[in-house]
Amino acid sequence: MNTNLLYKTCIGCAIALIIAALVGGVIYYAPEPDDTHEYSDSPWDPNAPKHPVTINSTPSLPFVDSGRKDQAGNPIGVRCNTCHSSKEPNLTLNNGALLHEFHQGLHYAHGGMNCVSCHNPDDYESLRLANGESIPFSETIQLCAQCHGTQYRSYRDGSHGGMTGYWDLSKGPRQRNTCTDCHSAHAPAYPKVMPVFPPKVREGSKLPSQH
Amino acid sequence: MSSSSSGGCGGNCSCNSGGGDNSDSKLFDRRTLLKTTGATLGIAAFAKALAPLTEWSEDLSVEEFVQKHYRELDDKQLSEVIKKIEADTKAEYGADVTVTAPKPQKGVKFGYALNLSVCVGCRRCAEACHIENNHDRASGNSYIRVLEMEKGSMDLEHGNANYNHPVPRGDKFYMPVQCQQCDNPPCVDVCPVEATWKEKDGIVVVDYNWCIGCRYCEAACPYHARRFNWEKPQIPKEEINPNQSYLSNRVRPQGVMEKCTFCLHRTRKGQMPACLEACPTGARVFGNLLDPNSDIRKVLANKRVFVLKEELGTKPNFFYFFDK
Repeated sequence: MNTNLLYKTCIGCAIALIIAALVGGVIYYAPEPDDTHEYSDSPWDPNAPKHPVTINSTPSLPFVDSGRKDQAGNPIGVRCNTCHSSKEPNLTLNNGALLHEFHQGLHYAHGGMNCVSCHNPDDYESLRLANGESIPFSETIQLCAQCHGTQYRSYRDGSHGGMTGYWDLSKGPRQRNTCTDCHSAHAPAYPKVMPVFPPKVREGSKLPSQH
Repeated sequence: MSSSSSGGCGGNCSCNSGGGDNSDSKLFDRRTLLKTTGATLGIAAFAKALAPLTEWSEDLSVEEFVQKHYRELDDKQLSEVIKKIEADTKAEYGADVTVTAPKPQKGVKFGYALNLSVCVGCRRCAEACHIENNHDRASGNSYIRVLEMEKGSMDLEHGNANYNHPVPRGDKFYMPVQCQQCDNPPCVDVCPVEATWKEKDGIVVVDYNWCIGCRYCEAACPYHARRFNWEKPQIPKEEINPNQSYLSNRVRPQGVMEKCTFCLHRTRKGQMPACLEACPTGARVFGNLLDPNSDIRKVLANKRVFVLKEELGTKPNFFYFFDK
C-alpha cells in the first residue's frame, strides 16, 4: 500500500513537472507582443530638417518720448542723437532725477552702475560692452550676458525665458522672448503681479486666503 | 425526541406552542414563508439589477453602450466614434470641432521640468489649461494647481492653492502641480476597468467612454492630479477649443475622470503644451527625453532636479529644480 502510494506520488510529481516545464517554456519563448499599432506611422527623426528658433527683436534705434503729440494724437519720439550728439556726456550720472530735461522720471534700480556702463557715450544710439566694443540695441542680450552669465547659460539651454511654438523643430518654428520682453533694462526685477484665474469659492469650501 | 403534535419543540424548554399558532402554520408554514420571501427578494434583486436600463437616458446611445475599448477599436470603428463625438458636440454645444486621435511617435518620450526659482505664481498656466482643455466654466476647473509654499518646506499638503494677493511674496515660493505622468502610475493600477493606461510616449490617458467614474484613481494619485466631472461641462459655444482629440481635451461627459495629458493633441503634433506657452517667466521646460540635445535633457544634465514624493516610487516624468 505504501509503495503504491509512493509510486502514484512520483508519477504525479513527474507529470506536474513536465506540465510546468512546457508552460514555462511557452511563456519564456513567447514572442514579444506586437506594439507597432500603438505608435504613429512616422517615427521621430533626429536628423530631419529643422525650423528656425527666432528671438524677439529689440528696436535697433530707440526713441525717447518728447512729451508732445502729433496731429493724430501719437506721441512724438526723439532720436537719442538729436540731443546727445551735441552734449557733453556726464560719465558719473546714475539717476535720471538729477537731470533738468528728459529721462527725469526714469526709475533706475539695477545695481551700482552708471548710465554709461551700458550706453555708449560716443554714440548714444548704440550700447557699449565692458570691453569697449560698441553693439547695436538689437544685440541687447550680449550686454546682459556680461554680468548675468548663469541666466544666459540657462537661456541658451532653453530653461530661462518664455517661448511659444514647437518643441519638435522638425514640425514648426519656435519664438523666444528676449531679455527686455520681461525685464526692464533700468529696473530689471520682475514686478509683482496679481494672479489671474482666481479660485472659485464653492458653497461649504474655505474662503480664499487674503494673506 | 419525539415530534409533538402540539407544534412545540418537543423538549422541556419553555417555548410557546399555543394552538392558535398551530392553525396559522398550516396557511404559512415555515417552508412556504421562506420560499415566498426568497422569491420576492430574488425578483426585487433582479429588478434592481435591471434598474439602469429603466434609467437609460438620451445621453447614452446604443453605439456608446456597445463601443469597444479605445485600444481595441480598428481605424474604421474609431473614425465612426469620432464622427459621433463631433456631431454630439455640435448638437449639444453648437460648436464645430475637429476631434483627432494622434498616436505616440516612436523615439519620443515626453518630459517636463519646472524652475521653482522663477515661477512667480501668476497662475497663467492654470488659466491656459482651463481654456485649452475645454474645462467646465462654472467650476473653474484646471489640471494645474499652483501651490503657495512656505520657503524651506516641501510639504504639498500645506501648500495653499487659494491665495489671492499680489505675487510673488518674499517668504513664499510657488509650485504648480499637475499630472506627473509617472512611469509607475498608481492611478492606472487601481482602475478596475482599465479605462486609464500609460501610452508609449509616457502619457497617462483616460478613455472617457470606458471610465465608470468610480474615482479610485483620484484617490490613488499622490499628487491630487485627477479631476472628476461632477456635472456636464458648461462652456459657451464661442469659447470651445475646436482643436480636440479623443484622449485629451474633447468635451468630457458627466461622471468620468479626467487629467492632464501634456496637451497631447498639441504635443504629439510637435507643439508646446498650452501651459508652457502661457508662462510669462519661462519657468517651464518641455521636450523629448529620448533626444539628448533637447532642452529637457539639458535641464536634467545641468540642474539639480528632483521629483515630488520620490519615496513613493511613482517615477514621475515631471521634474522640479531651483536655480540657486
